[in-house]
Amino acid sequence: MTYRRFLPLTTLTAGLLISVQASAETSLLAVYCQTDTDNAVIYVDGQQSSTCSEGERKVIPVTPGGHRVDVVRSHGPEYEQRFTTDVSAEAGRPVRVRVSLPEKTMTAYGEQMAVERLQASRQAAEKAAFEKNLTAASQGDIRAMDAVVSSYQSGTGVEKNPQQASYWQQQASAARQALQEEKEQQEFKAALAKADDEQAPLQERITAINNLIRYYVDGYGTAINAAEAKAWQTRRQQLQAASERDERIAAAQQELDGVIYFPFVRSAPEVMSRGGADSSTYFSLLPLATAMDIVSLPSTTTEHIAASSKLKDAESHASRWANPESMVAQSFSE
Amino acid sequence: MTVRLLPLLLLILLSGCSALQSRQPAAISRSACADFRVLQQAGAPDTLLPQNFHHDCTGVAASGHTLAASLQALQPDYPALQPDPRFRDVSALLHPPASAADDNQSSRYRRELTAYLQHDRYACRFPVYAGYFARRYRQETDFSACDASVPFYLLSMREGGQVRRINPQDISEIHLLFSSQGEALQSSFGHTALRLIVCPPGQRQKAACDRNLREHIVLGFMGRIDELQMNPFKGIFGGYDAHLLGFTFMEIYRTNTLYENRNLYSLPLRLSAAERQQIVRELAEVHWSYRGDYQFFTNNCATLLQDTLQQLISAYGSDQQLAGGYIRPDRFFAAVRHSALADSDVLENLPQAERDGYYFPSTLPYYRQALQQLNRQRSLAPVKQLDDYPQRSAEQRLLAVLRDPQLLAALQQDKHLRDAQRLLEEYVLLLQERQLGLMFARYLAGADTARLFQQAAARLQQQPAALAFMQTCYQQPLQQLLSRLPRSDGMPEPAFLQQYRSATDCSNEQQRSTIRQVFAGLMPDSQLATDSRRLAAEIRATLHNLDTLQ
Repeated sequence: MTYRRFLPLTTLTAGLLISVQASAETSLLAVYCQTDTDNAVIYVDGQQSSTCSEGERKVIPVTPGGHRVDVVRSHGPEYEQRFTTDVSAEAGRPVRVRVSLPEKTMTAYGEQMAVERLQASRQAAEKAAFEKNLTAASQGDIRAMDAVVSSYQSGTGVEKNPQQASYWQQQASAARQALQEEKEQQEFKAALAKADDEQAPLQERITAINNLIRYYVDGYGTAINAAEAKAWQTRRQQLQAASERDERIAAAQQELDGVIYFPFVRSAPEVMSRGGADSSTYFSLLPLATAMDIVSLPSTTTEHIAASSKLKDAESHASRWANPESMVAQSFSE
Repeated sequence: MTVRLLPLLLLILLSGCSALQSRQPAAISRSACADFRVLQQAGAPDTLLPQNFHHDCTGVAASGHTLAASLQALQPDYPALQPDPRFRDVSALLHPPASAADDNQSSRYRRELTAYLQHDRYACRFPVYAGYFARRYRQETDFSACDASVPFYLLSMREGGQVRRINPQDISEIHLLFSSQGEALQSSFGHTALRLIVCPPGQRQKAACDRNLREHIVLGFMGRIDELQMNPFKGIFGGYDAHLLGFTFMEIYRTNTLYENRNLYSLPLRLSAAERQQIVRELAEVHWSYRGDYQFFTNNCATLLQDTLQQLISAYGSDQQLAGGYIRPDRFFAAVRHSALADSDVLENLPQAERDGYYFPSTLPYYRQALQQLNRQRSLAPVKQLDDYPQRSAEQRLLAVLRDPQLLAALQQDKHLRDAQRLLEEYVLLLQERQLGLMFARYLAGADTARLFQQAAARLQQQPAALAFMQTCYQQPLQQLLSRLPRSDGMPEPAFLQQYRSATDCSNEQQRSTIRQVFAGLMPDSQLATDSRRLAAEIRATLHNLDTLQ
């Protein structure tokens, strides 16, 4: 409606004229250039036929039959907005095409340029990576050496070069060997230190000596040395004997702790801190009640006496209560 | 003396005694004269006797010609007068191992044999050697000239160390005592000792003797640990002194059956009255003399006891069960039990053995039984485990009873149940007593006792009686405690025993109160002091509980 309201009469007249002319040439294509179509070129079957102006209609005479209509607005060589449609024209009957331009897309040239740029970028990155690896490899980095070998073999980042690949392969192998030797030496030194460490737990020392013997036999981290291996075997036997002795001692300690005769026997080591070599375990030389006076327990003599009496009674009470016929009950119920 | 010497005389005669033939005229001492007179009476040729020897020994007193000299001359040529392997073993019972080994056995033998022959009271002072000589030369040991009793130094946590004199004739039986954890006899290594069944004065009936548990004593070998930390290496390979220690039976009973949850098995040894007397005297000598080397595996309570019994009991060595020797106390006990030396029947029926005083089971089951009986009457939360009971404060324990009307009613009606409740309180009290002992041990370990006594003495300068009391009853016993127990060569003389003044004499309440006040002012404010006060309060509250339940 808007379009009709503003359409000048002359235009309408011209349209009628064209229509008459088109009728004579068989058909007309009416291209309606809609919003944001300024300067878009209209191609009919690949031939530039007109140029869009926003809000205008372009009438293009065409022969009856099928036609491809392209409306293209260029954004440089690599990008464009392209509207494409196929129409079928009939004689004496105009075909209307409403054109709205889509989003900008890459042209074929643009696609090609992008690919070329990507390849160039990749090659540059590969080259940079190679150069970085080469620098690192030159500084002894084994993984970088492996990468350099791979680059020279595959030609990635650098031209293929079998000689250089071989060279760096040897370098990597040598570096690996050196690294392994260093690791072995470190393990050997650690085992030696642990084996010599008299403060270390016996079992750890024995394990270290086992390793040490193997290292001397295999030449691991050190030169093969049968004499040293044998010496350490002897040492291991000694330590194993010591370990077994420790176990016996531990068992004995348990048993000694179980010496029953008096509770003070077990507390004796504590008691004797001031006694020196000649001290004795027999702290019962002092009656407990008297000893308590020294500790100055805040209790009275009367309480000591009461406690003493009750304790004396208590030690046989269980038997008297549970088994009145027992000898303890007989002895203490009198 | 005559009877004793006859077999020896025969040995000497058969041996020819040629060494005496060349002896120069010399006089002999009056004591030796008697023995030579015996030789003469027995028909010994004059060549065996000193020249100028007269039957009445007149005129020979000042001479240096002694029996020892004669024996010295005789000994090398006559094996019957030389020490045999058993003499070395007997020596080892009395002397430290080093001196037993280093000392020339021949000279020791000559010295002891001479003394044995010469001194009527030799057997009183040296019953072990006397027993040895008597067995070797088929004599009888005569103790008629000896004191009726022999001393033992008994250790008791309650009463302190004390000298107790025992009349060997009051010993009705000697038992081998074995303590073991668990039901089975051989469930652990256990421990062995000897138990002397001491009869009440003037009574010899078996029942009276068996019931006299208060006076029974236990003698056992144990190590004497003399340093801050027990050294297992020394425990195994030697370095700790071993003593034949004496204890009251009730000390052993309480320690084993209550604190240690152990059972005591008491196996009577088959011994004649004469053997018992001999052995008790010998044990007393070993008790005072032996300071050996305690080694857990090879020189322990079982092996040392075996060595002792082997020498002291004549039938021991010939028993096949016992011939091999045992390192483990449980195996040693089992061997004795199956030997002819012991009356093993008494342990066949343990309930009967408990009645007869041969078996003293752990008392912990009795306390658990008491707890269960009480739990059956409780309407409030029961105490599930015996171990949980002492964890509660005395106040909580008493309140648990008083707040439970059902239990309270049952306690008021049932004395046995009331005793069960008392029993549990007593159980706590006994544990607290032990805790006190350990606390005192910790105190001694941490205290500079010498300095403490110096400070106490300074404060008591104006109170000479209290100062003397402190020195006699506290300082000296503590010094004894911290020093090596003296060793006696042979049975101790009265002067020697003065060193063992009994600490139980020190019971003057007024003086003790003074001492307590003095030490209270000296005791630093420490965790121990806090713990002591807390424990003392708990003991006081436990005693109160017992009074309430009573």
